[in-house]
Amino acid sequence: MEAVKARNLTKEFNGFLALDRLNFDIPEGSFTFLLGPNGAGKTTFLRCLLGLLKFEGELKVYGLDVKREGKSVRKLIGYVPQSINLYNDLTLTQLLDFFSDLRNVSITLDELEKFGLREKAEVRVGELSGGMRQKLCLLLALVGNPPILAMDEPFSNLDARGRLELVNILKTLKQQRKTILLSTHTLSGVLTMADDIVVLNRGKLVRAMKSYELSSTMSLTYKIHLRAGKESLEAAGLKAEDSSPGWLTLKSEDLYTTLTTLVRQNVNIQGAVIEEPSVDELVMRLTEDAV
Amino acid sequence: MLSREFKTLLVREIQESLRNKWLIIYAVIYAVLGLSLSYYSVLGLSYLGLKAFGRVSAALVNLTLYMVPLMSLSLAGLSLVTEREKNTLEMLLAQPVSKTEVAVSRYLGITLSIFLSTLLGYGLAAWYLWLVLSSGDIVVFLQLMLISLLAASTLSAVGLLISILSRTRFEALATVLLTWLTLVVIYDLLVMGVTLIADLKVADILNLLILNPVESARILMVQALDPSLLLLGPTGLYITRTLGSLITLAFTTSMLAWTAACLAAAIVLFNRQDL
Repeated sequence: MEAVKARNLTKEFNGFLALDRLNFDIPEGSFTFLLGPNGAGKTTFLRCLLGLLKFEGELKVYGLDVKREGKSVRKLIGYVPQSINLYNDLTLTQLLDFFSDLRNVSITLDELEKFGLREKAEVRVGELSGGMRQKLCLLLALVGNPPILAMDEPFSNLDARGRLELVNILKTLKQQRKTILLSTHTLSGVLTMADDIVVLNRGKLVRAMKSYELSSTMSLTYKIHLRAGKESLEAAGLKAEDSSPGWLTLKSEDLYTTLTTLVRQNVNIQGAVIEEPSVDELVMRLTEDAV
Repeated sequence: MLSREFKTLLVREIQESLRNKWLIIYAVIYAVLGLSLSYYSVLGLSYLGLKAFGRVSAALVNLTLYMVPLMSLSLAGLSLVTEREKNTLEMLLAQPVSKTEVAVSRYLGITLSIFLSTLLGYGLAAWYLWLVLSSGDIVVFLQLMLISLLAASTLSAVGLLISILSRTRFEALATVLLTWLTLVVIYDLLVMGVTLIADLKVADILNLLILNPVESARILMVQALDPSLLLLGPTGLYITRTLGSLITLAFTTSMLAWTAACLAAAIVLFNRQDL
């Protein structure tokens, strides 16, 4: 069953087409990445899904019409917006009580414990750090255990540790077969977690596909930054460019083969960083492919 | 039957409104002015040997007609637009609540909080006046209190509509102040000016007065003090002769119509808006 079904979904802001006749489905229980550069329409799509914006066309969540049954639809979706603004004057406990009352569920302080926020229970929301707010917002989105979790650019304001914590939480939620819809303008190192990928650009659907289709049909350029001898790389048949002092950069469209070559040729590597292809490149390649 | 979500929103709105510093300031000013006016009016009048309550009431009527519209318009006028500007509205509307529930709970929460602050202001004055007034005067005093509550509910609805139509807090505040000034001061002057220029008949003046909810409140309050409306001059006499026993019904209906129209418009527009 489709968790989300969009048909001819169109949203216009004063003559500007933010979403242009989108048609795609998001299967139940899938982890779907909504990819696209800034201004692609990802946030607009998520806001339409929640009934926060008026739109043309049809949008259904578990068969419920977003336009006519918005309140019931919102019961099924937990939402983490890009810019997190909560009631700063409330304590975490008060905020949790308010949101759980709105979803008609009771919630215990153990929930705060799971997200490492137990000791902040009586602290006002306005006093929390950005990362803690993000966690709190995720906790609020999971109140009532809605079957769908929609997150708008959740990695954008997190440091490395925060990203890792979020990835771990998402992995757990994926194991629980929750339908997760995550918008991002970076590949964030978590693309491998995705089951489905919906690529948007300038309000149009570029492609909706399974994540394995992406890796099997398209090679994207990875950059491998290495601290190694240039000669040893050339001896292994790999052409490297000088980048920052002491570092060489290999460009590869087949990451697996390149890494295998490095290992088999016993290249002496003192340090390595892999840079994934950008969403912009992905969109450009997919757009070219479509043409 | 009220939904659980609606009750949750309403409790939250009342709690938030009661914490609003402006409401607390208004309540304190109201209480201090109400008590002082009552004290000095009674003091001065007993010195002069005149009937005390008329002057006390006139002072309270004037206080009410300035304070209640300003308090109601500003609190309701800044409510939703502030949440929109702070971006907390997005998270709230992403919950299983309807926009109608959010708007109505906001309206009721603010109105109930203003009721409480009005009761506090009047209550302190009433406590003092209870010692010096007759039981008949107390009934009139309670009538004045009810009319000011009606005015608060009407002007909160106007304020909510302003909040929904405004894009920024600054725009909302400017509109609130302009609306307050128009309803409380400019409208009277306009009616006087138009009467002089266009040579309006008394019937036309009555129609113009009934269109302004603050004027309606004023006439109802004056009627509570003096059923003949002599205080309002020839217009008052005309109103008494034309409407007779229907005065209360006519002006109350006007205020209720304003409330219903503004609240309905606010709900419809809010539902049509993005976010």
